[in-house]
Amino acid sequence: MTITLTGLTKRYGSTVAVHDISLQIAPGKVTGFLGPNGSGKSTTMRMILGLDHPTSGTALINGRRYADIRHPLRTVGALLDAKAVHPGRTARNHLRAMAASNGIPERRVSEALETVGLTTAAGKRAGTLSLGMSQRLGIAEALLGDPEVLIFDEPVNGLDPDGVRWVRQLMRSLAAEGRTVFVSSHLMSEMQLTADHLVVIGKGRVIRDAPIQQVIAGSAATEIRVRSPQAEALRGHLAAASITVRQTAPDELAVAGARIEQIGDIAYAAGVRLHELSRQDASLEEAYLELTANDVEYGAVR
Amino acid sequence: MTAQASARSEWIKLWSVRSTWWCLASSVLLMAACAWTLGKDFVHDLENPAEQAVRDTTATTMPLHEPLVLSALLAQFAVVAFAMLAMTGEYATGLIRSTLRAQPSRGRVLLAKVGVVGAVTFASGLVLGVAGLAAAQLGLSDYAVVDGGATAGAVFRVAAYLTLVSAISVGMGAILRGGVGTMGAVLVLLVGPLLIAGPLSDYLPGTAGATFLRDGTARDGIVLALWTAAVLAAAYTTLRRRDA
Repeated sequence: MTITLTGLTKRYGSTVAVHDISLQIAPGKVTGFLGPNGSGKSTTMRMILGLDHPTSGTALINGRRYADIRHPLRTVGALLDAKAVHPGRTARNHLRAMAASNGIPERRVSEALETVGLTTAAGKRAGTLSLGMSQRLGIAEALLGDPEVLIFDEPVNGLDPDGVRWVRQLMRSLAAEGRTVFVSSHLMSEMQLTADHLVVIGKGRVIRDAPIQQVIAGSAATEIRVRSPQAEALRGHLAAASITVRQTAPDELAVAGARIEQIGDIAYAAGVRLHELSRQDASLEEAYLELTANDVEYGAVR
Repeated sequence: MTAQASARSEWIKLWSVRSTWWCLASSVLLMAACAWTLGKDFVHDLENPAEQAVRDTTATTMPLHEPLVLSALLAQFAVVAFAMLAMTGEYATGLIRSTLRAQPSRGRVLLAKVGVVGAVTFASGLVLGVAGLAAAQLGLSDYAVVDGGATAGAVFRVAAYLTLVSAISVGMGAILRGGVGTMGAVLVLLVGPLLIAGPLSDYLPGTAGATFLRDGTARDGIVLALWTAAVLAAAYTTLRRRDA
Protein backbone atom coordinates (compact mmCIF):
# COMPACT_ATOMS: atom_id res chain seq x y z
CA MET A 1 0.00 0.00 0.00
CA THR A 2 1.29 3.39 -0.98
CA ILE A 3 0.98 6.53 1.12
CA THR A 4 0.35 9.46 -1.18
CA LEU A 5 0.69 13.04 -0.01
CA THR A 6 -0.58 15.71 -2.39
CA GLY A 7 0.03 19.37 -1.68
CA LEU A 8 -0.19 18.63 2.01
CA THR A 9 -0.10 21.88 3.98
CA LYS A 10 -0.60 22.74 7.63
CA ARG A 11 -0.71 26.28 8.94
CA TYR A 12 -1.07 27.38 12.54
CA GLY A 13 -2.05 31.02 12.28
CA SER A 14 0.75 32.63 10.33
CA THR A 15 3.21 29.78 10.97
CA VAL A 16 3.51 27.23 8.20
CA ALA A 17 4.37 23.89 9.78
CA VAL A 18 4.08 21.83 6.60
CA HIS A 19 4.26 23.49 3.22
CA ASP A 20 2.86 21.86 0.11
CA ILE A 21 4.39 18.42 0.56
CA SER A 22 3.79 16.00 -2.29
CA LEU A 23 5.36 12.59 -2.21
CA GLN A 24 4.75 8.88 -2.36
CA ILE A 25 5.88 6.40 0.23
CA ALA A 26 6.16 3.06 -1.46
CA PRO A 27 5.60 -0.44 -0.08
CA GLY A 28 8.36 -2.99 0.30
CA LYS A 29 10.95 -0.62 1.64
CA VAL A 30 11.88 1.40 4.66
CA THR A 31 11.44 5.10 3.99
CA GLY A 32 13.35 7.28 6.41
CA PHE A 33 11.86 10.65 7.30
CA LEU A 34 14.52 13.12 8.34
CA GLY A 35 14.54 16.73 9.30
CA PRO A 36 15.60 19.07 12.09
CA ASN A 37 13.41 19.62 15.14
CA GLY A 38 10.32 21.59 14.24
CA SER A 39 10.62 20.78 10.54
CA GLY A 40 7.13 19.28 10.40
CA LYS A 41 7.82 15.53 10.59
CA SER A 42 5.42 14.76 13.40
CA THR A 43 2.75 17.06 12.01
CA THR A 44 2.99 15.28 8.66
CA MET A 45 2.64 11.90 10.35
CA ARG A 46 -0.33 13.09 12.40
CA MET A 47 -2.04 14.31 9.24
CA ILE A 48 -1.50 10.93 7.55
CA LEU A 49 -3.12 9.32 10.60
CA GLY A 50 -6.15 11.60 10.54
CA LEU A 51 -5.26 13.20 13.88
CA ASP A 52 -4.54 16.70 12.55
CA HIS A 53 -6.62 18.28 9.83
CA PRO A 54 -4.58 19.54 6.85
CA THR A 55 -5.09 23.20 6.01
CA SER A 56 -5.06 22.04 2.40
CA GLY A 57 -3.98 19.03 0.38
CA THR A 58 -4.58 15.36 1.07
CA ALA A 59 -2.89 12.38 2.67
CA LEU A 60 -4.16 9.09 1.28
CA ILE A 61 -3.36 5.51 2.17
CA ASN A 62 -3.95 3.25 -0.77
CA GLY A 63 -6.19 5.96 -2.18
CA ARG A 64 -8.30 6.38 0.97
CA ARG A 65 -8.32 8.96 3.71
CA TYR A 66 -7.39 7.48 7.08
CA ALA A 67 -10.79 8.43 8.49
CA ASP A 68 -12.49 6.38 5.79
CA ILE A 69 -10.68 3.15 6.62
CA ARG A 70 -12.81 0.66 8.51
CA HIS A 71 -10.92 -0.84 11.48
CA PRO A 72 -7.87 1.30 10.67
CA LEU A 73 -5.53 -0.47 13.09
CA ARG A 74 -5.70 -3.50 10.80
CA THR A 75 -4.38 -1.40 7.92
CA VAL A 76 -2.12 1.17 9.53
CA GLY A 77 -0.06 0.67 12.68
CA ALA A 78 1.70 3.59 14.27
CA LEU A 79 3.96 4.55 17.12
CA LEU A 80 3.88 8.28 17.79
CA ASP A 81 4.67 8.65 21.46
CA ALA A 82 5.72 5.69 23.57
CA LYS A 83 4.59 7.39 26.77
CA ALA A 84 1.04 7.88 25.51
CA VAL A 85 -0.34 5.08 27.68
CA HIS A 86 -2.31 5.35 30.91
CA PRO A 87 0.40 4.79 33.55
CA GLY A 88 -1.95 2.78 35.74
CA ARG A 89 -3.03 0.32 33.06
CA THR A 90 -1.05 -2.84 32.47
CA ALA A 91 0.69 -3.37 29.16
CA ARG A 92 -1.63 -6.27 28.35
CA ASN A 93 -4.81 -4.37 29.21
CA HIS A 94 -3.67 -1.43 27.12
CA LEU A 95 -3.25 -3.72 24.13
CA ARG A 96 -6.51 -5.55 24.88
CA ALA A 97 -8.42 -2.26 24.79
CA MET A 98 -6.76 -1.27 21.52
CA ALA A 99 -7.42 -4.70 19.99
CA ALA A 100 -11.08 -4.70 21.04
CA SER A 101 -11.66 -1.35 19.36
CA ASN A 102 -10.86 -2.84 15.97
CA GLY A 103 -12.21 -6.33 16.44
CA ILE A 104 -8.71 -7.78 16.58
CA PRO A 105 -8.68 -11.22 18.27
CA GLU A 106 -7.19 -11.45 21.79
CA ARG A 107 -4.51 -13.88 20.71
CA ARG A 108 -2.89 -11.07 18.70
CA VAL A 109 -2.24 -9.31 22.02
CA SER A 110 -0.12 -12.19 23.25
CA GLU A 111 1.58 -12.52 19.87
CA ALA A 112 2.45 -8.82 19.72
CA LEU A 113 3.76 -8.89 23.30
CA GLU A 114 5.91 -11.85 22.40
CA THR A 115 7.22 -10.23 19.22
CA VAL A 116 8.49 -7.24 21.16
CA GLY A 117 9.76 -9.32 24.08
CA LEU A 118 7.34 -7.98 26.69
CA THR A 119 5.60 -11.24 27.61
CA THR A 120 7.03 -11.28 31.12
CA ALA A 121 6.27 -7.59 31.66
CA ALA A 122 2.71 -7.84 30.30
CA GLY A 123 1.16 -7.58 33.75
CA LYS A 124 3.17 -4.53 34.76
CA ARG A 125 1.54 -1.12 34.93
CA ALA A 126 2.69 0.97 31.99
CA GLY A 127 3.89 3.73 34.32
CA THR A 128 6.48 1.40 35.78
CA LEU A 129 8.01 0.48 32.41
CA SER A 130 11.35 1.98 31.39
CA LEU A 131 11.44 4.20 28.31
CA GLY A 132 12.87 1.31 26.34
CA MET A 133 10.09 -1.03 27.43
CA SER A 134 7.46 1.66 26.73
CA GLN A 135 8.93 1.95 23.26
CA ARG A 136 8.51 -1.81 22.82
CA LEU A 137 4.91 -1.57 24.03
CA GLY A 138 4.29 1.18 21.49
CA ILE A 139 5.73 -1.02 18.76
CA ALA A 140 3.55 -3.92 19.94
CA GLU A 141 0.53 -1.64 19.63
CA ALA A 142 1.56 -0.73 16.08
CA LEU A 143 1.91 -4.41 15.14
CA LEU A 144 -1.36 -5.46 16.81
CA GLY A 145 -3.55 -5.41 13.72
CA ASP A 146 -0.89 -6.99 11.47
CA PRO A 147 -1.07 -3.82 9.32
CA GLU A 148 0.26 -3.32 5.80
CA VAL A 149 1.42 0.20 6.62
CA LEU A 150 3.61 1.10 9.59
CA ILE A 151 4.45 4.59 10.76
CA PHE A 152 7.03 5.10 13.49
CA ASP A 153 8.03 8.43 15.00
CA GLU A 154 11.47 8.09 16.61
CA PRO A 155 11.09 4.39 17.43
CA VAL A 156 14.57 3.85 18.85
CA ASN A 157 14.38 6.61 21.45
CA GLY A 158 15.51 5.23 24.76
CA LEU A 159 16.42 1.78 23.48
CA ASP A 160 19.71 0.13 24.40
CA PRO A 161 22.06 -0.98 21.58
CA ASP A 162 20.43 -4.40 21.56
CA GLY A 163 17.01 -2.80 21.24
CA VAL A 164 18.20 -0.47 18.49
CA ARG A 165 19.45 -3.42 16.50
CA TRP A 166 16.22 -5.28 17.13
CA VAL A 167 14.16 -2.36 15.80
CA ARG A 168 16.41 -2.17 12.74
CA GLN A 169 15.92 -5.85 11.99
CA LEU A 170 12.18 -5.56 12.62
CA MET A 171 11.83 -2.67 10.17
CA ARG A 172 13.90 -4.48 7.56
CA SER A 173 11.83 -7.62 7.88
CA LEU A 174 8.52 -5.72 7.80
CA ALA A 175 9.63 -4.06 4.58
CA ALA A 176 10.87 -7.38 3.19
CA GLU A 177 7.35 -8.74 3.72
CA GLY A 178 6.15 -6.06 1.33
CA ARG A 179 4.82 -3.64 3.92
CA THR A 180 5.14 0.11 3.77
CA VAL A 181 7.43 1.34 6.54
CA PHE A 182 7.71 5.07 7.19
CA VAL A 183 10.02 5.98 10.03
CA SER A 184 11.41 9.22 11.40
CA SER A 185 14.62 9.38 13.34
CA HIS A 186 17.38 11.66 14.47
CA LEU A 187 19.95 8.90 14.59
CA MET A 188 21.66 9.20 11.22
CA SER A 189 23.99 6.26 11.66
CA GLU A 190 20.95 4.13 12.45
CA MET A 191 18.99 5.45 9.48
CA GLN A 192 21.92 4.74 7.21
CA LEU A 193 21.66 1.08 8.20
CA THR A 194 17.86 0.87 8.14
CA ALA A 195 16.42 2.99 5.35
CA ASP A 196 16.20 2.25 1.63
CA HIS A 197 14.72 5.57 0.71
CA LEU A 198 14.93 8.98 2.33
CA VAL A 199 12.67 11.96 2.57
CA VAL A 200 14.41 14.97 4.07
CA ILE A 201 12.34 17.97 5.06
CA GLY A 202 13.27 21.35 6.46
CA LYS A 203 10.95 24.13 7.54
CA GLY A 204 8.01 22.11 6.31
CA ARG A 205 9.29 21.63 2.76
CA VAL A 206 10.71 18.57 1.05
CA ILE A 207 14.42 19.08 0.51
CA ARG A 208 15.26 15.65 -0.85
CA ASP A 209 13.23 12.58 -1.80
CA ALA A 210 15.57 9.91 -3.16
CA PRO A 211 17.09 6.46 -2.57
CA ILE A 212 19.61 6.60 0.25
CA GLN A 213 22.59 5.81 -2.03
CA GLN A 214 21.75 8.82 -4.17
CA VAL A 215 21.51 11.10 -1.17
CA ILE A 216 24.91 9.99 0.04
CA ALA A 217 26.52 10.05 -3.40
CA GLY A 218 25.18 13.54 -3.92
CA SER A 219 26.94 14.87 -0.87
CA ALA A 220 29.98 17.10 -1.30
CA ALA A 221 31.57 15.03 1.42
CA THR A 222 31.57 12.03 -0.91
CA GLU A 223 35.06 12.04 -2.41
CA ILE A 224 37.25 9.90 -4.58
CA ARG A 225 40.53 8.95 -3.06
CA VAL A 226 43.46 8.60 -5.43
CA ARG A 227 46.86 7.25 -4.36
CA SER A 228 49.68 7.54 -6.82
CA PRO A 229 53.47 7.86 -6.68
CA GLN A 230 52.97 10.64 -9.25
CA ALA A 231 50.28 12.47 -7.32
CA GLU A 232 51.77 15.84 -8.05
CA ALA A 233 51.63 15.28 -11.81
CA LEU A 234 48.11 13.87 -11.71
CA ARG A 235 46.96 16.86 -9.75
CA GLY A 236 47.99 19.12 -12.63
CA HIS A 237 46.17 16.98 -15.19
CA LEU A 238 42.98 16.96 -13.11
CA ALA A 239 43.16 20.70 -12.53
CA ALA A 240 43.52 21.14 -16.27
CA ALA A 241 40.19 19.30 -16.64
CA SER A 242 38.74 21.78 -14.11
CA ILE A 243 38.29 19.15 -11.41
CA THR A 244 38.72 20.25 -7.81
CA VAL A 245 41.49 18.40 -6.07
CA ARG A 246 42.83 18.42 -2.57
CA GLN A 247 46.23 16.96 -1.72
CA THR A 248 45.76 14.97 1.48
CA ALA A 249 49.21 13.34 1.59
CA PRO A 250 52.35 13.40 -0.59
CA ASP A 251 51.02 10.44 -2.58
CA GLU A 252 47.28 10.97 -2.03
CA LEU A 253 44.59 13.17 -3.55
CA ALA A 254 40.96 13.73 -2.65
CA VAL A 255 38.70 14.57 -5.58
CA ALA A 256 35.17 15.86 -5.24
CA GLY A 257 32.53 16.34 -7.88
CA ALA A 258 33.93 13.97 -10.49
CA ARG A 259 33.06 10.46 -11.55
CA ILE A 260 35.50 7.72 -10.75
CA GLU A 261 35.71 6.64 -14.44
CA GLN A 262 36.67 10.15 -15.46
CA ILE A 263 39.63 10.19 -13.11
CA GLY A 264 40.75 6.74 -14.21
CA ASP A 265 40.63 7.82 -17.83
CA ILE A 266 42.59 11.02 -17.19
CA ALA A 267 45.26 9.09 -15.32
CA TYR A 268 45.49 6.51 -18.11
CA ALA A 269 45.76 9.16 -20.82
CA ALA A 270 48.50 10.93 -18.85
CA GLY A 271 50.35 7.69 -18.16
CA VAL A 272 50.15 8.18 -14.41
CA ARG A 273 50.41 5.05 -12.26
CA LEU A 274 47.66 4.57 -9.72
CA HIS A 275 47.86 2.56 -6.47
CA GLU A 276 44.34 3.28 -5.37
CA LEU A 277 41.22 4.72 -6.91
CA SER A 278 38.25 4.45 -4.61
CA ARG A 279 35.09 6.22 -3.63
CA GLN A 280 34.88 7.42 -0.02
CA ASP A 281 31.20 7.73 0.75
CA ALA A 282 30.07 10.53 2.95
CA SER A 283 28.21 9.42 6.03
CA LEU A 284 24.48 10.02 5.99
CA GLU A 285 25.10 12.47 8.80
CA GLU A 286 27.39 14.58 6.61
CA ALA A 287 24.94 14.43 3.71
CA TYR A 288 22.05 15.32 6.00
CA LEU A 289 23.77 18.26 7.68
CA GLU A 290 24.69 19.62 4.28
CA LEU A 291 21.09 19.35 3.05
CA THR A 292 19.51 20.91 6.09
CA ALA A 293 22.17 23.54 6.80
CA ASN A 294 19.82 26.34 5.80
CA ASP A 295 16.71 24.85 7.34
CA VAL A 296 17.50 24.42 10.98
CA GLU A 297 14.76 26.08 12.96
CA TYR A 298 16.35 25.92 16.39
CA GLY A 299 20.06 25.69 15.64
CA ALA A 300 23.18 26.68 17.51
CA VAL A 301 25.56 28.91 15.61
CA ARG A 302 27.81 26.73 13.50
CA MET B 1 -20.44 -3.31 14.61
CA THR B 2 -17.76 -0.71 14.99
CA ALA B 3 -19.86 1.02 17.65
CA GLN B 4 -19.92 -2.22 19.59
CA ALA B 5 -16.14 -2.62 19.20
CA SER B 6 -15.55 0.92 20.45
CA ALA B 7 -17.81 0.30 23.44
CA ARG B 8 -15.95 -2.92 24.26
CA SER B 9 -12.66 -1.04 24.13
CA GLU B 10 -13.99 1.66 26.47
CA TRP B 11 -15.29 -1.00 28.83
CA ILE B 12 -11.84 -2.59 29.07
CA LYS B 13 -10.22 0.81 29.57
CA LEU B 14 -12.65 1.71 32.33
CA TRP B 15 -12.10 -1.36 34.46
CA SER B 16 -8.33 -1.62 33.95
CA VAL B 17 -7.46 1.51 35.94
CA ARG B 18 -7.73 1.89 39.70
CA SER B 19 -9.30 5.34 39.61
CA THR B 20 -12.61 3.80 38.46
CA TRP B 21 -12.79 1.59 41.53
CA TRP B 22 -11.70 4.38 43.85
CA CYS B 23 -14.24 6.83 42.51
CA LEU B 24 -17.14 4.39 42.61
CA ALA B 25 -16.23 3.20 46.10
CA SER B 26 -15.97 6.83 47.24
CA SER B 27 -19.40 7.62 45.84
CA VAL B 28 -20.98 4.78 47.82
CA LEU B 29 -19.17 5.92 50.94
CA LEU B 30 -20.21 9.56 50.52
CA MET B 31 -23.78 8.56 49.79
CA ALA B 32 -24.09 6.25 52.79
CA ALA B 33 -22.30 8.57 55.20
CA CYS B 34 -24.45 11.53 54.22
CA ALA B 35 -27.74 9.62 54.33
CA TRP B 36 -26.90 8.14 57.71
CA THR B 37 -25.92 11.55 59.12
CA LEU B 38 -29.09 13.20 57.87
CA GLY B 39 -31.20 10.49 59.45
CA LYS B 40 -29.27 10.55 62.69
CA ASP B 41 -29.48 14.34 62.84
CA PHE B 42 -33.25 14.26 62.41
CA VAL B 43 -33.61 11.77 65.23
CA HIS B 44 -31.23 13.69 67.46
CA ASP B 45 -33.15 16.95 67.06
CA LEU B 46 -36.43 15.18 67.61
CA GLU B 47 -35.39 13.42 70.79
CA ASN B 48 -33.69 16.39 72.45
CA PRO B 49 -36.09 19.02 73.77
CA ALA B 50 -33.25 21.55 73.71
CA GLU B 51 -33.06 21.29 69.93
CA GLN B 52 -36.76 21.85 69.34
CA ALA B 53 -36.28 25.59 68.89
CA VAL B 54 -33.92 25.19 65.94
CA ARG B 55 -35.92 22.53 64.11
CA ASP B 56 -37.36 23.71 60.84
CA THR B 57 -40.02 21.06 60.76
CA THR B 58 -42.64 19.70 63.07
CA ALA B 59 -42.61 16.28 61.48
CA THR B 60 -42.08 13.35 63.79
CA THR B 61 -41.16 10.90 61.05
CA MET B 62 -39.11 11.16 57.87
CA PRO B 63 -39.73 9.40 54.57
CA LEU B 64 -36.88 6.92 54.15
CA HIS B 65 -35.96 8.28 50.74
CA GLU B 66 -35.76 11.91 51.81
CA PRO B 67 -32.03 11.89 52.69
CA LEU B 68 -31.25 10.58 49.19
CA VAL B 69 -31.51 14.02 47.60
CA LEU B 70 -28.76 15.79 49.55
CA SER B 71 -26.70 12.60 49.70
CA ALA B 72 -26.77 12.23 45.93
CA LEU B 73 -25.79 15.89 45.51
CA LEU B 74 -22.74 15.14 47.64
CA ALA B 75 -21.90 11.75 46.13
CA GLN B 76 -22.10 13.20 42.63
CA PHE B 77 -18.61 14.65 42.99
CA ALA B 78 -17.13 11.17 42.99
CA VAL B 79 -19.29 10.32 39.97
CA VAL B 80 -18.14 13.48 38.18
CA ALA B 81 -14.52 12.48 38.85
CA PHE B 82 -15.14 8.96 37.58
CA ALA B 83 -16.86 10.10 34.39
CA MET B 84 -14.53 12.97 33.63
CA LEU B 85 -11.42 10.79 33.99
CA ALA B 86 -12.59 8.60 31.12
CA MET B 87 -11.90 11.62 28.90
CA THR B 88 -9.36 13.82 30.69
CA GLY B 89 -7.25 10.77 31.56
CA GLU B 90 -6.70 10.19 27.85
CA TYR B 91 -5.69 13.78 27.22
CA ALA B 92 -3.34 13.79 30.20
CA THR B 93 -1.45 10.78 28.89
CA GLY B 94 -1.78 11.32 25.14
CA LEU B 95 -3.72 8.08 24.83
CA ILE B 96 -6.43 10.04 23.01
CA ARG B 97 -4.25 9.82 19.88
CA SER B 98 -4.34 6.04 20.03
CA THR B 99 -8.07 6.11 20.64
CA LEU B 100 -8.68 8.36 17.65
CA ARG B 101 -6.40 6.27 15.45
CA ALA B 102 -8.42 3.20 16.41
CA GLN B 103 -11.72 4.99 15.81
CA PRO B 104 -11.25 8.08 13.63
CA SER B 105 -14.92 9.04 13.94
CA ARG B 106 -15.03 11.58 16.76
CA GLY B 107 -18.76 11.07 17.14
CA ARG B 108 -18.35 7.33 17.70
CA VAL B 109 -15.59 7.84 20.26
CA LEU B 110 -17.76 10.30 22.19
CA LEU B 111 -20.79 8.04 21.92
CA ALA B 112 -18.84 5.00 23.13
CA LYS B 113 -17.49 6.88 26.12
CA VAL B 114 -20.80 8.48 27.09
CA GLY B 115 -22.58 5.17 26.56
CA VAL B 116 -20.25 3.01 28.63
CA VAL B 117 -19.71 5.60 31.37
CA GLY B 118 -23.43 6.34 31.42
CA ALA B 119 -24.41 2.68 31.66
CA VAL B 120 -21.96 2.07 34.49
CA THR B 121 -23.14 5.23 36.23
CA PHE B 122 -26.80 4.24 35.95
CA ALA B 123 -26.09 0.85 37.48
CA SER B 124 -23.94 2.43 40.21
CA GLY B 125 -26.69 5.00 40.73
CA LEU B 126 -29.16 2.25 41.58
CA VAL B 127 -26.61 0.75 43.97
CA LEU B 128 -26.01 4.20 45.46
CA GLY B 129 -29.75 4.70 45.93
CA VAL B 130 -30.14 1.40 47.73
CA ALA B 131 -27.02 2.03 49.82
CA GLY B 132 -28.43 5.46 50.71
CA LEU B 133 -31.72 3.92 51.78
CA ALA B 134 -29.97 1.35 53.95
CA ALA B 135 -27.83 4.05 55.59
CA ALA B 136 -30.86 6.31 56.09
CA GLN B 137 -32.74 3.43 57.72
CA LEU B 138 -29.80 2.93 60.05
CA GLY B 139 -29.80 6.60 61.00
CA LEU B 140 -33.60 7.02 61.31
CA SER B 141 -34.34 3.62 62.83
CA ASP B 142 -37.93 3.82 64.14
CA TYR B 143 -38.61 7.26 62.68
CA ALA B 144 -38.50 6.18 59.05
CA VAL B 145 -41.65 5.83 57.02
CA VAL B 146 -41.54 3.89 53.79
CA ASP B 147 -43.79 4.40 50.82
CA GLY B 148 -42.80 1.70 48.33
CA GLY B 149 -43.59 3.63 45.17
CA ALA B 150 -42.02 6.89 46.31
CA THR B 151 -38.90 5.09 47.52
CA ALA B 152 -38.40 3.23 44.25
CA GLY B 153 -38.99 6.46 42.34
CA ALA B 154 -36.37 8.27 44.40
CA VAL B 155 -33.78 5.55 43.75
CA PHE B 156 -34.51 5.67 40.05
CA ARG B 157 -34.14 9.45 40.05
CA VAL B 158 -30.75 9.21 41.73
CA ALA B 159 -29.59 6.85 38.98
CA ALA B 160 -31.10 8.97 36.20
CA TYR B 161 -29.73 12.22 37.61
CA LEU B 162 -26.21 10.83 38.04
CA THR B 163 -26.29 9.35 34.53
CA LEU B 164 -26.98 12.79 33.05
CA VAL B 165 -24.28 14.28 35.28
CA SER B 166 -21.81 11.65 34.02
CA ALA B 167 -22.61 12.54 30.41
CA ILE B 168 -22.09 16.25 31.16
CA SER B 169 -18.73 15.36 32.76
CA VAL B 170 -17.55 13.29 29.80
CA GLY B 171 -18.60 16.03 27.38
CA MET B 172 -16.98 18.78 29.41
CA GLY B 173 -13.82 16.67 29.68
CA ALA B 174 -13.71 16.41 25.88
CA ILE B 175 -14.06 20.17 25.54
CA LEU B 176 -11.59 21.24 28.22
CA ARG B 177 -9.22 18.22 28.24
CA GLY B 178 -7.73 19.04 31.65
CA GLY B 179 -9.04 17.48 34.85
CA VAL B 180 -8.96 20.61 36.99
CA GLY B 181 -10.75 22.80 34.46
CA THR B 182 -13.35 20.13 33.81
CA MET B 183 -14.10 19.62 37.49
CA GLY B 184 -14.39 23.38 37.90
CA ALA B 185 -16.72 23.81 34.95
CA VAL B 186 -18.98 20.94 36.03
CA LEU B 187 -19.17 22.40 39.55
CA VAL B 188 -20.14 25.77 38.13
CA LEU B 189 -22.94 24.10 36.17
CA LEU B 190 -24.19 21.85 38.96
CA VAL B 191 -23.53 23.78 42.16
CA GLY B 192 -23.34 27.39 41.00
CA PRO B 193 -27.08 27.69 40.19
CA LEU B 194 -28.00 26.43 43.68
CA LEU B 195 -26.42 29.55 45.11
CA ILE B 196 -28.47 32.02 43.10
CA ALA B 197 -32.18 32.52 43.60
CA GLY B 198 -34.71 33.69 41.04
CA PRO B 199 -36.74 32.23 38.22
CA LEU B 200 -33.73 32.02 35.88
CA SER B 201 -32.10 29.57 38.23
CA ASP B 202 -34.81 27.01 37.48
CA TYR B 203 -33.50 26.71 33.97
CA LEU B 204 -29.91 26.07 35.00
CA PRO B 205 -28.71 22.49 35.30
CA GLY B 206 -27.88 22.61 39.00
CA THR B 207 -31.26 23.82 40.20
CA ALA B 208 -33.23 21.79 37.67
CA GLY B 209 -31.25 18.69 38.61
CA ALA B 210 -31.74 19.16 42.35
CA THR B 211 -35.46 19.82 41.90
CA PHE B 212 -35.79 16.75 39.69
CA LEU B 213 -34.03 14.67 42.33
CA ARG B 214 -36.38 15.92 45.06
CA ASP B 215 -39.72 16.15 43.29
CA GLY B 216 -39.29 14.13 40.13
CA THR B 217 -40.91 16.88 38.06
CA ALA B 218 -40.69 16.09 34.38
CA ARG B 219 -39.96 19.69 33.43
CA ASP B 220 -36.82 19.79 35.55
CA GLY B 221 -35.67 16.44 34.21
CA ILE B 222 -36.09 17.74 30.68
CA VAL B 223 -34.17 20.94 31.49
CA LEU B 224 -31.24 18.90 32.78
CA ALA B 225 -31.42 16.56 29.77
CA LEU B 226 -31.35 19.55 27.40
CA TRP B 227 -28.28 20.93 29.14
CA THR B 228 -26.66 17.52 28.80
CA ALA B 229 -27.47 17.44 25.11
CA ALA B 230 -26.04 20.93 24.66
CA VAL B 231 -22.76 20.01 26.38
CA LEU B 232 -22.47 16.84 24.28
CA ALA B 233 -23.18 18.75 21.07
CA ALA B 234 -20.46 21.25 21.99
CA ALA B 235 -18.10 18.37 22.80
CA TYR B 236 -18.80 16.71 19.45
CA THR B 237 -18.17 19.93 17.53
CA THR B 238 -14.98 20.57 19.47
CA LEU B 239 -13.66 17.04 18.91
CA ARG B 240 -14.39 17.24 15.21
CA ARG B 241 -12.72 20.58 14.67
CA ARG B 242 -9.72 20.30 16.96
CA ASP B 243 -6.47 18.61 16.04
CA ALA B 244 -5.73 15.71 18.33
